[in-house]
Amino acid sequence: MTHAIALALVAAGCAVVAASVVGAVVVRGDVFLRLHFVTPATSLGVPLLAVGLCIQSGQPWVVAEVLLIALLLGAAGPVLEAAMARTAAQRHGVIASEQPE
Amino acid sequence: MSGYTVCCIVLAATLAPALLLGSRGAPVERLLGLALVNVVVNALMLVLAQVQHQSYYLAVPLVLVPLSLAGTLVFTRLLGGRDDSS
Repeated sequence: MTHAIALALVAAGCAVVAASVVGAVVVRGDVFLRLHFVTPATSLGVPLLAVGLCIQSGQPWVVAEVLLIALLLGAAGPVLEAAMARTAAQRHGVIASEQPE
Repeated sequence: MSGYTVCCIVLAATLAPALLLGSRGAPVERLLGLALVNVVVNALMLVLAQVQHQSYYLAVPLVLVPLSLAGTLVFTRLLGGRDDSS
């Protein structure tokens, strides 16, 4: 039972990551629209995958390492998305090029 | 073939569209592709560590996540303010 739950979580996480990447490639529109596809992968896909791997592994050291990786990736995703959106807005002339004071 | 191996293959196949996005289009779109490649590689290494039963594979994403964050932020800094995509 535990194995099935872990595998289902890992499969769901992989599906979310794969759908995000394919969506970012397939979607028609500008870069601002494509940027939305980073968040599901980092904030939903990888945490689902990490929880599944933690359930499957059960070893404390591996669980801590996997959760740390998921936490770092979950924190880095929105930061990267905001930074890329700001760069795209600067390049499109939506906001000024100067850095904020 | 276990379910984890299938997940590994799916993630490895997902690298192709991410690399495609990272190799064409405007610079910010290529940067987006690079960020997605990083996410996919991290997820792939997590699952690969489970498939191979080698926990030291987890060192790769543990190092790659901070490095990719810093690298992408450097690229956004370098790309900001210039529009040479057209």
